Amino acid sequence: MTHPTELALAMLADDALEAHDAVEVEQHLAGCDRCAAHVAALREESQALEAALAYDPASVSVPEFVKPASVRAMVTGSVVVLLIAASFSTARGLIDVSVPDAVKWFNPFNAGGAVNLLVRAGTFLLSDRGSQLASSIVETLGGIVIMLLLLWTASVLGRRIRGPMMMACIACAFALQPSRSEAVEIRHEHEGSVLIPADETIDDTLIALGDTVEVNGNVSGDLIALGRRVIVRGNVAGLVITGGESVTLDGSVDGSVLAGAETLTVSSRRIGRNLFGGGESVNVTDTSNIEQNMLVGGEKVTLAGHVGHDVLGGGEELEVASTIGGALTTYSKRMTLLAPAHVAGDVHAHGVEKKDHVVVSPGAVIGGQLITELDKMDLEKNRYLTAHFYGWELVWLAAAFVAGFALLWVVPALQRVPFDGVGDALRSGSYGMVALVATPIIAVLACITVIGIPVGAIALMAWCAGVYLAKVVVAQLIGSRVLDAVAEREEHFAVSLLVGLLILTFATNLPFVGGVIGFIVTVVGLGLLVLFVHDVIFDDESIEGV
Amino acid sequence: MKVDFEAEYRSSYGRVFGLCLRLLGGTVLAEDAAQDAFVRAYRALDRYDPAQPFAAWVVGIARNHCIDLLRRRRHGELRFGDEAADLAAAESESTEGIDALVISERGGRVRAAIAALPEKYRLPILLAYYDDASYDEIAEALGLSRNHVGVLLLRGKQALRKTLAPSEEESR
Repeated sequence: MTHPTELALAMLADDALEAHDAVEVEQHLAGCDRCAAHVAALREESQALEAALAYDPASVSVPEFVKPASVRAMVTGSVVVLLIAASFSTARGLIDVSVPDAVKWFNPFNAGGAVNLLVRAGTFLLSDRGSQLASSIVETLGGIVIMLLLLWTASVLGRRIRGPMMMACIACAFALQPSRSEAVEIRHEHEGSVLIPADETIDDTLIALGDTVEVNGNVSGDLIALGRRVIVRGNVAGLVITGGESVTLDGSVDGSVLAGAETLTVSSRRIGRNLFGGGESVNVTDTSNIEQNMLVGGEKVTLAGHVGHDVLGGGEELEVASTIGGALTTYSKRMTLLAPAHVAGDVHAHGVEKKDHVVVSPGAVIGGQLITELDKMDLEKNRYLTAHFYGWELVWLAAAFVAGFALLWVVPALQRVPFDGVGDALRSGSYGMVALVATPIIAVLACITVIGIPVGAIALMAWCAGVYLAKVVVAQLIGSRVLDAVAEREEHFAVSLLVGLLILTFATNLPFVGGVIGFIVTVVGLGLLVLFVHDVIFDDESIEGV
Repeated sequence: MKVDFEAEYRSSYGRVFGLCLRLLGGTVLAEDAAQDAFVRAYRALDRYDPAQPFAAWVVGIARNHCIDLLRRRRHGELRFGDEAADLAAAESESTEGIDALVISERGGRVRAAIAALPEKYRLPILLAYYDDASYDEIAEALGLSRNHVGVLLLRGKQALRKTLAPSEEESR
């Protein structure tokens, strides 16, 4: 007698055989005790499996259902936010609540940024101010687009992120951000030069872009000047951000200065806060006066003038003739302290090649001590034997843990990112590499267009956060896998995060290979983040065919 | 007929969550997937046929969604192997060792053993014996033929029997 196949019997036991096959097998069973008993055993087995897998739905606590935001709700929301913000802005214009600058942040009537632009666009329409109208509208549209993007992100991520309000708050904060100056004035000349004559005062923040940018007049807001040649002789009430082939700063600046140039010359008689400068050749002349700190780096750095607090300088060759209120710390092969120099605090010269490459001229005064650290000594010293090293590693670990805990609490889906072996590592690694390299480039390119500045800034911030959090994602991945292997039950994510971070801290500090491991971890983690965000945004269709 | 979504959600959540938990493994992932399934159902309410039980409909969505998530974990593809090879192996296997009692007595170990099965056996077994999906439904969800589903279930159960068979010491 030929018995039916094992498959036929199993399918019969599951009532899955086609009707005519079933009849045939049933007929066989009637005459074959062995097969009948086998099918009965299979049926029992299936029932036992069902019982073993059964899950008591009553044991689950049902979370509240969060309805997805509809397009209509999003549009209505955006319009409401805009209207509220616009009315605040208008009300402020009518009442003109006068508060000191420092507390303006708390003032709910202080609608800034995008909203101000919107209201201004309306006024321009009424007063017909021609040429400025177009750029105003473009800026306004840019602002609206950014706000809509934020609201859209909030609605997409809302389901996964605890408290969709968090994102809504960010959007509102963006819309109602305090802006010190009412507007931004942009001067842009592709090939020619931008000249602000001495008798002109810019009442706004000024963005000047051109081949040559010469600002002789005063600026009451911030100044952003980019060009091949930048000269600032006027006074700036805010911050100065500038870059170019050659940059010369002559005027007084109330805020800080951020400058990067091939040749950077600073002779401002007053910089109210800090100077951050870098370039091939940096020259801070003796007429300059920096009230707080100075941080400069370059191939050849010459420093003079007065600095209120500390100076940190780096470069191949450093010459210092400044009067410094605090300490002077240098990282250079050669350091020379020239005659009128007066350093109230200590002088730390790091990384000098030979002891006699630190020269203190007669007449130069050091209030504290002169400490020279030779380049070779740094190499020879075993960093693993210093308490300093372990202290900083502990700080890094604690900070990463706090940041990681917050991230994983806010985005629980990141507690278990899908990751299976080498294939996923390569895939996320390649995405990570692209994100690591391309994001800053795109962000900088975006900043070239005015509307792109906020987009570029957001992208850069996201990039920085991503690079930092990449390690957290990988740490959680490693920690959860390790705990899965050794622990009986599922541990809280804080435990796996801590385990992962400890492993990573150890691995990235291994001699010789630590750096490479750190880089790989960053790239893979960044890739995982990119893929995760991609998966959240691009929803799939699972309803088809149900 | 208007569907009381909130009420249907409350009554069917447990089943949907259970399915996601069995398929995906982790509580957090399951909660997320269950929410996703209901969000999808909510968005597609106009395509819901009230003649069908709501729970069955949303369970179907959850099933597809979980399979999709698993597929993404595997770089967009779930591999179910060669049907003929699996069939040949299944037919050559001894038919002894089927003991429903072993399964009933060892609920926890059975679940662990299923979780440890290769994905190509694990998914059909969970869909058939937890989800109560028919061979046709499983075949459609996984993109297989009905017969292939039968072969995978058979092989999966054979593997389970081996894992769960009482060891020498236990049977003594």
